[in-house]
Amino acid sequence: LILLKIERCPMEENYNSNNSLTFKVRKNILLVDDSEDNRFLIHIYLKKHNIEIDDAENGQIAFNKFKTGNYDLVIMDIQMPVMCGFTSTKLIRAYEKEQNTNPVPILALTAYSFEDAFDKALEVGFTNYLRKPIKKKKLIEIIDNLLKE
Amino acid sequence: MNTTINKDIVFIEEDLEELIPNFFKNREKEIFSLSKAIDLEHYSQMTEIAHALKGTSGSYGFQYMYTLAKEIEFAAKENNLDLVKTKLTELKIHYHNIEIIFQ
Repeated sequence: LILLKIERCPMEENYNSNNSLTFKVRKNILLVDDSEDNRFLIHIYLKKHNIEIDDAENGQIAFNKFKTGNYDLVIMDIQMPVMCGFTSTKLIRAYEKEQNTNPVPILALTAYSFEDAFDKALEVGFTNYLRKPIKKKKLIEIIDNLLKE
Repeated sequence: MNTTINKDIVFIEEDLEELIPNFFKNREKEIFSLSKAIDLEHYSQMTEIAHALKGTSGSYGFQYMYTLAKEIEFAAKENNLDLVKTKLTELKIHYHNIEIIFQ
């Protein structure tokens, strides 16, 4: 394995600065993904954006954390061991109804072609979806839309 | 002029540099697991591992690894063991020859 570094050109810096969304009030996100690589990646992408991220490795842990936490957004992978994203989202929505609280946006994260299944996903309670591979610009754009202040 | 694109050269965002050692450690585990699934002719496991590999490698910007993982996933779904083996060999060669340029 060979590692090299090249300097970033000023134009790229300007381009990247378009992605520098920062919230005035710190936002809390529950990040649910069984892949630690994906979680680490999202942490890196969001670290300069005044966002606190709480991790969960599967849908069951996510549901347990959701009940005791206070989140502005849930980012939920679909295919996970123990409990998948669909089931976890259903449980979260049922819990919100039971508690009579406002629904928190839930962003589905999936490597599957999701267009056909999206109606079902909306029924379950997802707010929107993001297809893997995760791209920084798209991720920030969609989070910005979901967390509009 | 040689215009051949070297698929082993990968351009990665500088911000991700600290994640790369762990990324490779986990991909090595996946390659090992894929080999084991091939030995057992366990197609659903091959599909699952290749699917995970596809998602992660694509997100980090490893385009050729992503393509190979996608091909392995497809071949496993088709129960095409020969193609899975061929693509896994290509993946191993690529894995050992990757040159990363952080930008």
